[in-house]
Amino acid sequence: MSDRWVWIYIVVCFLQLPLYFHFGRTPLDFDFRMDRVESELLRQDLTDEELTELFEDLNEAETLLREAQVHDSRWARIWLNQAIVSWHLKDFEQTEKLFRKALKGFESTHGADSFYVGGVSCRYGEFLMQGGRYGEALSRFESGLPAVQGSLGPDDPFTLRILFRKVAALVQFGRLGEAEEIARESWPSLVAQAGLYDASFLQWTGQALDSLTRARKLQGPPGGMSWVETLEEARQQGRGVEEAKRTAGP
Amino acid sequence: MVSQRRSLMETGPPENKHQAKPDEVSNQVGLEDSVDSGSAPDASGPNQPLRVPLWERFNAPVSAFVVDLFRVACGLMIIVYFGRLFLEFSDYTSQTGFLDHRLHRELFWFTKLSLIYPESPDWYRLAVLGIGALGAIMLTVGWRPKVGAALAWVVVVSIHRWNFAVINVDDSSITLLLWWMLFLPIGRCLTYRTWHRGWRNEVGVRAEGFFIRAFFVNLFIYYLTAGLTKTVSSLWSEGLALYVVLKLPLARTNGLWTIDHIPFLWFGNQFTLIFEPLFPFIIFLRKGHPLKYAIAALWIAFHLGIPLSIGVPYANFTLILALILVFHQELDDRFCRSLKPKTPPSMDPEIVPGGGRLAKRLIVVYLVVLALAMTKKIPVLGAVYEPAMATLYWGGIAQEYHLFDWIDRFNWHLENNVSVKPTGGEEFTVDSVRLFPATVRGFIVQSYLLPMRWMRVPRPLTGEMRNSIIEKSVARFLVKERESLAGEGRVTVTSKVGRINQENLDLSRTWSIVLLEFSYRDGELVELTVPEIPTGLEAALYE
Repeated sequence: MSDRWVWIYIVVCFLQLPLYFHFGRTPLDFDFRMDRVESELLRQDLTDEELTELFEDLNEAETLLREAQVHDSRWARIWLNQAIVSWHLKDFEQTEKLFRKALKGFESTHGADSFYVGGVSCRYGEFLMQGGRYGEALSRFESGLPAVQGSLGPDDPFTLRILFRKVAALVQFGRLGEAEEIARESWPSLVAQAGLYDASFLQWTGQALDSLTRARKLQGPPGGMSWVETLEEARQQGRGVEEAKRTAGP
Repeated sequence: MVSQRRSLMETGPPENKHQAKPDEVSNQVGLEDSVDSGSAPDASGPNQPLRVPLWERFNAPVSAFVVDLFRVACGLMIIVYFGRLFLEFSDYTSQTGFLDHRLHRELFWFTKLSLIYPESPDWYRLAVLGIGALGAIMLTVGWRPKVGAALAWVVVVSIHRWNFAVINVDDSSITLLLWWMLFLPIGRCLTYRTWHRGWRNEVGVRAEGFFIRAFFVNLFIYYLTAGLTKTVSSLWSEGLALYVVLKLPLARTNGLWTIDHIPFLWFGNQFTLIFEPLFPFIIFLRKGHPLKYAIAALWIAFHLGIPLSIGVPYANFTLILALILVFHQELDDRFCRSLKPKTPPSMDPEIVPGGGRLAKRLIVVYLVVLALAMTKKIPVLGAVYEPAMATLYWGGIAQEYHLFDWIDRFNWHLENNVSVKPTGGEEFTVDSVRLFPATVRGFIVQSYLLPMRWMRVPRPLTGEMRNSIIEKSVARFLVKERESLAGEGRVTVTSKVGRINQENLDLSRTWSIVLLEFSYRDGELVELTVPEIPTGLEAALYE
């Protein structure tokens, strides 16, 4: 290629830059903002001030979408994150409102049987469960799990977490037969990935499994320990962490 | 150094070389060979080892005939590639295919700069493809080959942007070849003009070697990235990756392999791990070295084995064709000896110029950016991976050499069952390839229905992408099966899904999902019941 053509190539490339800027400004700004909020939300030690800042960021993301006249599921992503920030801020009324809004948003953009609707439904169920509303939580898990399980598979860490939330809720209602069925099928996968979960979830799950064992519905874990101890030991060993890292998507 | 001295002894003292024919001299000078140039400027005496500056070795002329042989071979492959684009037109490039291009342009906003636009009619899109094919023909026959390469390159880049969601290494290899055709010193030999003029006389023509060596650097980046990144994949290091790859729905031999074949496939796995990063070192071997031929044989076997068992033919044939340039000295010797030019070679042979200084600088910048774009997951350097990749994309030369190291994430088994239940009639099944083609692109399309999306779709727009692909697949299926779907009935597609990994090599743990379900009447869609089609975001929610 002669230098003249190289110049033309370089000029054409630079002429495209304003167009890339024009096309990419809103989606990139939105994605960077949301990725930052979501990675911050993974931290356990967020202060109320930081949480309020995150909420502000989410409000700005809303403004971005409104200005760009976007009408897709990105709105629901904002509402879901707002719900989680409100949950951290212990504003439970607002959290519930936002969870419902996010659910409606995903239903109307992805369809009622979609993965995101299932996933948000399960997260909403976890919120309800924390507030002691086991009946409502159970119905959320039951409606959300098929889409989650169908999409991620039965051994995915999120599926397992919700399955054992459901086990705990079923134990609360004394529906031990159903709880046993799930627990018997899935406990090996839970133990194999215990390093991915937080201690309080495993404690809660362990207690539910121990209740099943005491009721002679489920055998105790191998090794003679209680379920609570077994799960905690597996968590401390970091089981499943390496596997999760290597299979993690971009 | 040992080989340099040995080579010097073999080729004789420098003063003898000054008497050699110029084409023979230039034969012996090259990055690949030892320092044996008779024209070395700093030769201080007959018994002193000659030191040719690296830059001169990098620039040393090569046979223009061999470079054009490479051009013709690549041109023919690019013509075949355009043939495939025409064949796949209705599935991907047209409005009737799997992709909703309006949504596609929103999800991948950076693909909007393309010759094809959403409202463009099919005849326009076919005309664009036709211009690209014409460019490929011009390149092959040597009629304004650079213009032909530029036309084909612009069209290919546009098509790749238009169908970005289903683009893979086959496509980027074609972009790579066309990009290099813009710079390589092509078009002097083996053209339609010289065919009748006695092309045997062309064997002595030399071409500037800079861009050929720069192409070798590109090969290095290619193989080192493809080879070394596999070593951090656990399926590759466990020796299972080849088995898993061959079990993927995209593999041509899918269904032939069982766990009994794992010991055999383990060797293939280890062969890949060991040899792939070593292949490019072939260029450092001197002309005619037996090891060079042995590596070339392995190189060919490796790159023939992949298209035969898995697919991805264009990427693999690109690398096989690259051997023409790798063996430019050997081929040059062969042609020089056997073709016996009718007219004696001139003492001052013609040197086909490469690009100017700016072109050389551009290529150096390209190679640096390309190397940086392959640093994903490497500590520190990894931070520049995305900007470097964006720069390549911006220049129309997006490349990705992380080949099959993604197997730990894409190790999904997928088996579709398409069942048709006509109203009042017997239920029957339709071959699932009628719904999704059994090709790499067909597999990529299905990846958007599972949590293993091929291209990174911004969250949570994956839901919109999934729905659009399902709707378009149904529409395409109805057109293809119009005859067998006469009358009324219901179609249900169930997928058996599972992860193929150490714990599930025999696929004993899978789960089933109803992927889609719809009713039809006389080949027309009546209602899509699974998945539920969304109503659209209610304004009341966000206002």
